[in-house]
Amino acid sequence: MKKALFFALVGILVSVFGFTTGQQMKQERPVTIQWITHPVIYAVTGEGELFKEFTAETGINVEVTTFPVATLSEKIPAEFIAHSDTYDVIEFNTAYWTADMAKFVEDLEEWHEKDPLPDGGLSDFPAGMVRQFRVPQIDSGKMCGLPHRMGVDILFYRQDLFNQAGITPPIGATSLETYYQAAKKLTQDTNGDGQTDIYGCIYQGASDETGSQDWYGWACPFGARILVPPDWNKAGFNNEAGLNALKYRRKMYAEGIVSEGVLSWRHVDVREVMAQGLAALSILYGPYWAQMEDPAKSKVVGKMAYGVPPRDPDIEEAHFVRGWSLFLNKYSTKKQAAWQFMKFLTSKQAEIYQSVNHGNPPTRYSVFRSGEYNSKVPTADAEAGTMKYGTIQPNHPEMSKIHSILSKNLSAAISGEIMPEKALEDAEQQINALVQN
Amino acid sequence: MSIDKKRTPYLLLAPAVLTLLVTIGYPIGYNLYISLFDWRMLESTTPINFVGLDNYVNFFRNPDMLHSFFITIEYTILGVALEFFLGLILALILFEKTRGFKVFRLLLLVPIMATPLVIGLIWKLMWHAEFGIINYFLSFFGQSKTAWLAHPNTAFIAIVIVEVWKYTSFIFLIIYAGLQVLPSDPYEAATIDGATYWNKLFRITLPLIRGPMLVAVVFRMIFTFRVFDQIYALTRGGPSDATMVMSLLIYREGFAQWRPGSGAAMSVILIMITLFFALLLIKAIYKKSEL
Repeated sequence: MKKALFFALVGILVSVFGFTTGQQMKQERPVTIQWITHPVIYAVTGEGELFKEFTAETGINVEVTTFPVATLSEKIPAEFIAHSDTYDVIEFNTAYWTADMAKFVEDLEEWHEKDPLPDGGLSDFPAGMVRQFRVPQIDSGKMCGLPHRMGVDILFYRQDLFNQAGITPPIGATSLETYYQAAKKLTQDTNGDGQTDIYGCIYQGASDETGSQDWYGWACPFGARILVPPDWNKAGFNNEAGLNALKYRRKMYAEGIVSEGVLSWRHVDVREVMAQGLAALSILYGPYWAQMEDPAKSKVVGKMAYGVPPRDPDIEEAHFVRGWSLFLNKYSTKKQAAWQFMKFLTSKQAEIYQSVNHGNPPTRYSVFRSGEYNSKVPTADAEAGTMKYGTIQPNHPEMSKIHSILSKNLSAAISGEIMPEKALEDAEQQINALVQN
Repeated sequence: MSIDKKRTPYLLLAPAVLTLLVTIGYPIGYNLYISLFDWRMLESTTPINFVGLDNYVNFFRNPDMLHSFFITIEYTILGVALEFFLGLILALILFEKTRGFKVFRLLLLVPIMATPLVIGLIWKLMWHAEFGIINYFLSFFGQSKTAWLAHPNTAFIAIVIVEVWKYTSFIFLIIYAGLQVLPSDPYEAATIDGATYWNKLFRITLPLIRGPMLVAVVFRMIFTFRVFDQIYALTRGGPSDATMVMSLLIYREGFAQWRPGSGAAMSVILIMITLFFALLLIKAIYKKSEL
């Protein structure tokens, strides 16, 4: 009995001591927030080099977790559904963000009112970019995301090959026919072995959202819409613009102007092929220029040029803006610290650092206009020229299923399994049934 | 027998049974429960629209789901058949203790030791249309570049080849173990009677290792039907759902499109099918032990 009492007393003393020490350590420990993002986005902060200044000023540590896009698209909703407080600052992408997720994140406009964004505040961000992540997508909608890495798809082309062939690149107000003809002329077998060594064009054709987004980059500038704004309750791609975009992709595939591999390729593959000098033309997300101009990763350094992609001159809202925004997790227990970090990461100086040193597309007017950005980023003019005709994408709750339906049909049409007309009709039918129920 | 002696076995089993109930029983039960709901997880964190057996009925009416079911059947039959024949041939060859058999035996174990996801990623690079090593080697035979993972037919062949490459050694191991314990008397008697190698193979060896062969095949059918990792890494079910096996579709339904009710119903159907294979296995084992 005495022994049992003795051990019980020792146990209580150890627990009390341990608890109070732990509490003291907790108080003395600096605040650490968790940021979940994509590896490329973490890379544009210089692998965290940028945070040192932030941590030194505020005492807030930032721990970063990165996942590939597809994993983020599944993990982040899972964290939201679980009401998890693991991550304080969440970075999410236009392709996967839906209005359904608005209830899991803070209203950033309220935070901005309490503790304003620096360097001109919200007005320094293009309203269209901010609207992309508002729910509903109007200027008075709940502001869910703070744009961090938003850009447009621009034309990437091999200036040296165009000069050699004596043709002008298909820039701006031109047609997909011009684009196709240029790609056809530039397709080459350089060593006479009967195999194509340089493809005239390259695109993402995988049967998932990467493939459908890439096709949309060809179709949207000519008047196709995945869903018709402002209500997003009807498909708007089964028209001449959507059909043309699909027919040209199919034609290029059939004629060997693109590699047969495109039907399984996503952005990583397309960037790699372009950087290895195997393709002459593409319409790609602007920030990818950094890989093209990196001597460690590219064989085409100094050979690339960038321009506004082809569009119908009568279409004012031609090129959809896409990218990543920062969200403040509603279940975070460190919201104040998280907001400080979000303000810092999207401040003018931080954006200049990220864009000039690592190719991140800026999201502030003041950065677009800065001499430093314009002199050091080769895509500055192309991005500005394309953004002039920018438009938003829908954030319908069923976007994931919509992209799944669309990409499967597009892929089948490109490979020749079904006719393009049938592909778009079937996709339109299924998507209308989905959004109208 | 005293009361304590009667209760003791149950008391001893209780912790294990409880653990199984919690870790296996509860998830299966909950899975069955949510399969009765049309649950859109981003709209509500609890299942709210009870639909009864509609999710199960929809499985048999939905062309995508049926397509996935048949793809899985084709993949399983083709994959396991090839694994069986190759595994059997390898076991018979190495059983003859040819020169270097120990090295070959060791090398055969390498694929089975690697993680399926890693295997999928490595093979994806190998199948790459422009940079892949397979196209590189085929070019020496005059074969032009093939976009293996870009066409429905070639993508299906590619995933079957990876499956066979990875799991042939499993069948080889089981059959090889079966060959090790064969009695020598029938062979001696056959030799005396002037039987050839082929006579002995078809009349003695194969009948005697029928049990291990059956066990190997049924095991592989159970696991192949549920394949996920390597196909996710290779093709994610594309192109145009040509390699969308049931596990991938369940994953897409449940975790990409956040409709766990529909995904749960499909997973119950998958369990039923693998249970069927498991019952076949049990029957085969019982039949063997009766002999």
